Amino acid sequence: MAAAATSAHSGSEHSDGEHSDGDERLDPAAALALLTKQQLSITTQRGSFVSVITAVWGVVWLIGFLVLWLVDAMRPEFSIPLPIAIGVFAALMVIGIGVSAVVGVRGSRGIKSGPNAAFTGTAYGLSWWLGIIGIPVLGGGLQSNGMSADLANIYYPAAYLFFVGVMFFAAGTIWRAIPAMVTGVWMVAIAIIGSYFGHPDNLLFYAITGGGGFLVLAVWDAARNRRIRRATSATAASGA
Amino acid sequence: MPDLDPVIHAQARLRITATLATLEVDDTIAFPRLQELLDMTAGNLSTHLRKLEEADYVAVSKSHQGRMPVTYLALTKRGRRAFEDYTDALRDLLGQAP
Repeated sequence: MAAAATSAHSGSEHSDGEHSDGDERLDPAAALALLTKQQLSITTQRGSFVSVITAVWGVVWLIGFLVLWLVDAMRPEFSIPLPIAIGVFAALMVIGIGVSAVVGVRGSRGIKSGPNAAFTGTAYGLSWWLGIIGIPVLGGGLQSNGMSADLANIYYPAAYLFFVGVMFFAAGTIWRAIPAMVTGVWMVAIAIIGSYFGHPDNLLFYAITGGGGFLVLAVWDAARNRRIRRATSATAASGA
Repeated sequence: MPDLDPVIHAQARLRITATLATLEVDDTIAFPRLQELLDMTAGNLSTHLRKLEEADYVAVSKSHQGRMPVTYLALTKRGRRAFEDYTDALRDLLGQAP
């Protein structure tokens, strides 16, 4: 039936280009190009909030780890008291989580998940607690068996970065987002490498490669989005 | 030579169908958000959505956000299959491997 309708229309295939209601027909190459561009435009528009989240985390880690590094790095000339440094780090984390949640919700507005996607999202969200609770409890076990405060200074940031990296990688595999997978591998790698620097240089290393790395990634992602938006906006205008 | 599905093979409906196909299978999208993503007028979008709905390619569901009624849209199983067949037919016509 569909085939018959197509052949009936094929005579006027290229003659009704003056209509601007979007009912004009296309040649196959133009149709495939339009389809590809349209899907790229949508995934870019829907994912554009990710660069904002990445930038926020870049700032959080850059400043957070630098503040922690300044507790011990410049002694005896200068030192930020530990409680203040931890307070600043925690406050930055809360800001980071808050901004991510608000921007993420805004980015996915108007999309209602079906039961399968909702289950995946909830399960993924809950799995963060495995690390948030598990890492300090594991650290407690190690410390009660003789892990020194110096070692704990290496264990905690490395364990958290390692865990966050694995979670980013998992998010990338679930939602088929290759940048998230790359970021995840990057974080796991710097978590491990940083631990070889020893305290407090591991914190400076994390500030630069973690915070700085995220900022570079955010700028790259935003530039890529802008380029795709510019390339696809012509399509949107002609199809509307 | 395979024929191209005339329901999808028109600029506006191709853009709409391609957009809806990027959603996960069970996800639905609110009309205003779809309009924003496509940058189409509400009237034009409604017209083409009606044609897709008549072909049973798009499912429409009504829901409420507070007191505001919101229309949610998604491809039906038939619509998703038709879009995949359409994409395959295009590639076939262009001599590309599917």
